[in-house]
Amino acid sequence: MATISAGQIMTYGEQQALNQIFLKTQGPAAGTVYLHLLTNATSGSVDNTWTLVSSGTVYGATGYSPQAFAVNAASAASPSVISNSGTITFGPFTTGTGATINWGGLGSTSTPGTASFIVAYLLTASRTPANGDSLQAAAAAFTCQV
Amino acid sequence: MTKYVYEHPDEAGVGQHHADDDLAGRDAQPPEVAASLRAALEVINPTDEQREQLEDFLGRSMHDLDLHHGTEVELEDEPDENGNKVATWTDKHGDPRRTSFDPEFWDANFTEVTS
Repeated sequence: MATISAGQIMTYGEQQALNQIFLKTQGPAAGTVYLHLLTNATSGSVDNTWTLVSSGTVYGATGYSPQAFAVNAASAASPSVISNSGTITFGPFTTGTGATINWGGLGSTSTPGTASFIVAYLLTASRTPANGDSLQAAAAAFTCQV
Repeated sequence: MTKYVYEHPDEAGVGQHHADDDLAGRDAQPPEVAASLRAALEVINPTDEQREQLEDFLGRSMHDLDLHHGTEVELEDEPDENGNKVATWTDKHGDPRRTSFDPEFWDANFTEVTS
């Protein structure tokens, strides 16, 4: 069981990418992916073979909802890099706060139980929001490269 | 999706209603994140405009990010996996948002917009 410590494409994402560039399968139509928040520990806790976002411990405060994750086109560089194109803001959180958020999990849907787990991002700084808080990340805060 | 407007009896924001203190006194970014972002920007030899944009971002408070009285939202058709209402809206900075709401709080403070 391989664990990961930084922004990394999950096995599902790696398979999707390779199958598409080798013209093995038709990829999904362009659409919206969603950033989820997870409270798993920072090390030894997120497995890159997880196929669903719900395999992690999803942040549970009321006010929280996964956010649409818009991206710029992958850069024409080597390694190519893709990142969020705009500010992402969760909340405001209203009740049930107290847990510490350590990870962002990129999923194919907004529902953790059906969201294929594409990329795991370890937050630079863990966050423990209080009631009333929002959690905001700047454009290009979440990057992923091959 | 159906449009609703958030109206609080004391004109408090959604976050402010649930907070223990004034959200205007809470920085949106912790000091360590602010320091990291400033350092990352300096690496690219930024313009004054880029520095101003970053300082504007870092100068936001939790009040700035709140869902304010009078804000229109669009209710999603299905509740989330916890049974909470979910609505999308645009905050004062023009950023798209998606927030869940306790059903009781929703019923008490959101009114359907009938145009």
